Amino acid sequence: MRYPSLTEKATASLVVELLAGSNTEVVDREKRMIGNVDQELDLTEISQLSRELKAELETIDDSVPRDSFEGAIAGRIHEALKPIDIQILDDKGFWRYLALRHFWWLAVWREDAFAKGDPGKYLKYVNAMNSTECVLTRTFLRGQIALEAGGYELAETVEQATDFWRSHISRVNNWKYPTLVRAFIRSHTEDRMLTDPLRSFARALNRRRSSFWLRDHTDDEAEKIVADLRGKIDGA
Amino acid sequence: MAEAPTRNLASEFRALRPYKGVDQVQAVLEDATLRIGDDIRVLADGNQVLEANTYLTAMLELDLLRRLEDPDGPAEEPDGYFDRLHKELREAGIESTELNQLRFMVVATTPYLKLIHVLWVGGYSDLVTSQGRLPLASGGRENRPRPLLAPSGGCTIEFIAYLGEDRGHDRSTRPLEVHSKGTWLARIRFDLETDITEIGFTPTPLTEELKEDLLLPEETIRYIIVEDPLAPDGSSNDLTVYVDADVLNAIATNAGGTGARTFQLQLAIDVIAAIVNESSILLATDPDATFSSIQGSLCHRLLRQASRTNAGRIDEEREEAMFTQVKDEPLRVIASFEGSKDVIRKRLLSNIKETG
Repeated sequence: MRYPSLTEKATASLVVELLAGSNTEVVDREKRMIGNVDQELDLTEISQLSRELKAELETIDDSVPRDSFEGAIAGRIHEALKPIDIQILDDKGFWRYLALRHFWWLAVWREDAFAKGDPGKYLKYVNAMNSTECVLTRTFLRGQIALEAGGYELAETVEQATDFWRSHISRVNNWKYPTLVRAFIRSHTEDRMLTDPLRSFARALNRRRSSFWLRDHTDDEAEKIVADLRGKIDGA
Repeated sequence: MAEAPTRNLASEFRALRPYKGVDQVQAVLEDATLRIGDDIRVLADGNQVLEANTYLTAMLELDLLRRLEDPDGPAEEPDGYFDRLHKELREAGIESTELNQLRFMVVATTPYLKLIHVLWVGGYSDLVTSQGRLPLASGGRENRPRPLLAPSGGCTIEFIAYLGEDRGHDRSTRPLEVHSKGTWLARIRFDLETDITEIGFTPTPLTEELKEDLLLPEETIRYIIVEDPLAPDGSSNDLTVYVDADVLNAIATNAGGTGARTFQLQLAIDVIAAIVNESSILLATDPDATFSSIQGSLCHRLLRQASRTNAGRIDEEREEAMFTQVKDEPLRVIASFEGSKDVIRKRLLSNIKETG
């Protein structure tokens, strides 16, 4: 299977061009085709999904938190991309191509760093080096983790959840434990923790996790862990 | 055997976990090796760089049995292995009648794509039936576990021995024993990456605008931000390495030159220093942090790689000493890395790569 890919260097220079107003078609100038020549990856559906999501975004009220849109589309992004071979999804160059060629509008809208034109800050949102930072990869992972934990709807139940997903689910080991993710999301949705208690809770959960392998825990057991730790934080 | 002192010292190191006897169970598990194809054998807590095709197609098997002479030598008999494991489990408080409460699981994870796949799971009797050889993946790509199809990010294979259920007895009568479902008694890991893995801390060009934004002097050549080097499962994703844009261009155009190589080595030491210093600051403000609570963190992985013997084993005495030094004498830890250029080249640089 042949698929398009971008190097980090090409991504950096293309971003400058795109910020200057170039059409995303310029991305194809720099793409490298990777893999066997027998068949080419068909991105028609991905391209179509991008257009649909962009159109939907244009109908959304400006007052809606940007993270809400990210959470709402996470499942659809994941569903569209998950049939692609793991070996391709594992290639950061492929994500760079998608991020610039098909989802540039999403990254620019989602992160203020683009408006400020600061390469030191905006590149991480499109260069895919860090899957929990890059807008497209993190949205895909949010959908994937939510699906594993019970359903795509879990990706959007917590409001204003950028930091929640990045710092407390994706970037730490919690993603490995679907029942724990489910319990954590439900608890935080029902009774939202403020920033400091949430950080204290996350630290306590990290410590608990360092002594426990939670892969076999049932919903009830995971909920008990979350409730227990929340009780300790609330009582502290 | 050269590694014997390491095993004997394991109890001092593992005593940081609040359970009796688990250190000896850990020592038994650390005899395991990961077989990859016919020729490669990775030691417990080891790191292996593979050709991408090997990663994608080779047979994988976890061999629990201790090698008697060297990693490629003959192994002990399965009966001997399970006698040892049984004895150490008893020392940890697990009675023979409770062995069926134990679970053993092997998982492969890819931190980049957040994939996890259970390669093998079973109880104690399943482990005995296996004769100490756990098949993880057959050769070829057909039905291959998904993490083993991700050569760019690589994967981590973990073997965990844990309680599959609550033991259900009065805890006060059995202090310092594992009790609750999920508590692990021992775990080992193998980090696999390939020759196409991208380096995680690719330097970001430090432009004039960035220097202003970061409040850095104009003359700044490099600047490193470390987010949380004590976070479990941390990776080089948590590092941002800035290098002056002109310097970076000069290195890129002459990557093999003596000056460029020296700078890259110095940059690696700077990254190490940043991790050690930041860890030291965090440890000073977090008295509850222990060696076990930072398992898998950038700091932990750094110390682990620096604590290997020439045979590739973890020298736990050294590891423990370095952890204490990170808290009390971080500069001494950094100095010890500076004297180990080979270690930095061969192990640290590859190990602090982004593995997913």
